[in-house]
Amino acid sequence: MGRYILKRLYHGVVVIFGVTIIVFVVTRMVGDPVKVMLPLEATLEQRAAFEKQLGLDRPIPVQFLEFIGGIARMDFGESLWQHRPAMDIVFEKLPRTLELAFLGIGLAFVLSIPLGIIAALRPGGVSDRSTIFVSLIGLSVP
Amino acid sequence: MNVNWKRALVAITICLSVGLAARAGAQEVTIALGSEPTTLDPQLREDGGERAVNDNIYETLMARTPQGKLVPQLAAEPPALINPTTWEVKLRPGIKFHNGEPFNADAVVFSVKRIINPQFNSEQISFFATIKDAEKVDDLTVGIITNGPDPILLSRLYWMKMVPPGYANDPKFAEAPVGTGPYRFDVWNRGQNIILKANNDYWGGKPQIQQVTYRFVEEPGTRLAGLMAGEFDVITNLLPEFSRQVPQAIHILGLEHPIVILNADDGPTKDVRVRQALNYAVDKDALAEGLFDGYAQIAQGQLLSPSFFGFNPKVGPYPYDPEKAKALLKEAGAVGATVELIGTAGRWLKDRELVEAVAAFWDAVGIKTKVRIFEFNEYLNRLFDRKTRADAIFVVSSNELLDADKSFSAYYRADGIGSSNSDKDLAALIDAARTETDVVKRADLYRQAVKRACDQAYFVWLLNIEDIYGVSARIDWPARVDAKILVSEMKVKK
Repeated sequence: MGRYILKRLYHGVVVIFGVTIIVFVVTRMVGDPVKVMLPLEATLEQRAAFEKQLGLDRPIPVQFLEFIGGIARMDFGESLWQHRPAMDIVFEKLPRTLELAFLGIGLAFVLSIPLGIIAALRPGGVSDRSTIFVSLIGLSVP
Repeated sequence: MNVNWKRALVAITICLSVGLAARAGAQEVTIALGSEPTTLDPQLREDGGERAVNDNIYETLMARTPQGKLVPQLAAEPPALINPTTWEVKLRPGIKFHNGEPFNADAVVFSVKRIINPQFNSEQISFFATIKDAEKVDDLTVGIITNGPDPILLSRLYWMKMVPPGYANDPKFAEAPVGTGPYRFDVWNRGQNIILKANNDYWGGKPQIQQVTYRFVEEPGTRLAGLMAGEFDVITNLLPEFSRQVPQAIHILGLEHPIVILNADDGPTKDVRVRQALNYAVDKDALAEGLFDGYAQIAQGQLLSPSFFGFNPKVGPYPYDPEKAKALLKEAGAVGATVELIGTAGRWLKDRELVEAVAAFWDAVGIKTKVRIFEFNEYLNRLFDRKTRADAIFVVSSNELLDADKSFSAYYRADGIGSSNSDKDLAALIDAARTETDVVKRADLYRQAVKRACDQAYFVWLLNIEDIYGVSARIDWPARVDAKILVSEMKVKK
């Protein structure tokens, strides 16, 4: 059991790291915050200076390493838009996210356990197949 | 199930009591804004939601009348230019911030230095790039030093909010603002509302309305529904098509000018006759009526409203004359020429509709218009692309300083961030006006620039859009040309 938990934890870390890289790179590819944040009429010099202050003029790998370094020191950086620690914003939203998550899990238990039992009574029967069908759809919808 | 019913009951009770409370307190208003502020630090961001709230909490050295005239606010009198690069500002005595800090020369010097500090990285820096420093002369006198002669400084000061030096370094400053204005901050429930209370010690007199609640409603239809239900007293950016349903639709000529930038250096639009033809081809009256229900006026052949500094009253719009457009295109040998028109969707009111209407008018006189609508970020890449300029780019210019400098430097001047011409004479006029401190001479330089650009048809000037507010029947409010929503100017009708 202990080994299993360790293994899952290890997998979790790998997944989080992967997601971090993807989100980090993708958000830098799809939009340039400097372009959108400054007024349209701001000059090129002002844009360059602004970008430099934010540290967005450096290569993406350098920015990423710095971000990871910050996390190691429990510093999750500051929101560009709100100019306050990113973690504060996360904690602000956390209660509602948890509420949703627990309601979702609760609902899933209430529905899935009886359905699973019914389905297991006759493996391969109509109830089994339709339950699998519905739960596959449920899993696939984001 | 039981729990849900209880919840619903609680929710209904809350709604009812909130509604009753709103009716009981006659001296309260609720204003629905399109977006929640990201911060309440008044010097940091370029954020419409932040500005709408903080315009009532903070004040500036110079302000504007509802009609747009610059007048002293925290300054005791109009600042004087004592040498080409120094403006001397005398301050109104006896003013205090809401937390008791005195408003004096130290506060002004601190506010100026804070916003121009590169480390602070304010998004508003483009308004203040000409300011070099500020120094205290005595307790109520400040010298503001510019890099070169800066005739627009007074307009810039109208944009710079004065912050309390003691409290501004507190980490709470961006969440619980403190200014000198007629309203003081009460509470910010993130995601729900911001509440301000009247500052009854306000130096300019006690405001009539005692409490302001800001709500944040992105959807124009939801804002409308809230106004109709009596939940809101003022809603911003009312869609023109909703204007007939609301108790009062208050409208006033605003700061936004949609234009099409034409490439004068390359492609079919290099020929001035083609550019003029593209102007004659567009029926601007039809755009104002058809898309804005009349809540827009025809642009006067310039990127300026009549209330802006530099407006040239002798230059008018190109009339709608499709025959002349066809003749000019024929003369230029450009009949059937392809013109690429770049636009975006959802950024500005009716942006896509305007682009498509312009394209239809151009097609009608024999141009093949290739409309390309991009997502905003990609659109900006095209707008800022200095190497390969598109033939025609739609943009909405918003001029918060009510002065020609900003929009002309960006769009009229060769090498401006959105300009598509290399007219050296025009650039020279704009550069000269930028440092000319003689008001009459400066206005004359802009009038020349306006005339030249209009003759050369560097743009298709479309409209000057009106700001429309939906207002409940119990509020009396004249609205302002500068789009500020100042609650101290509102009255609750008896």
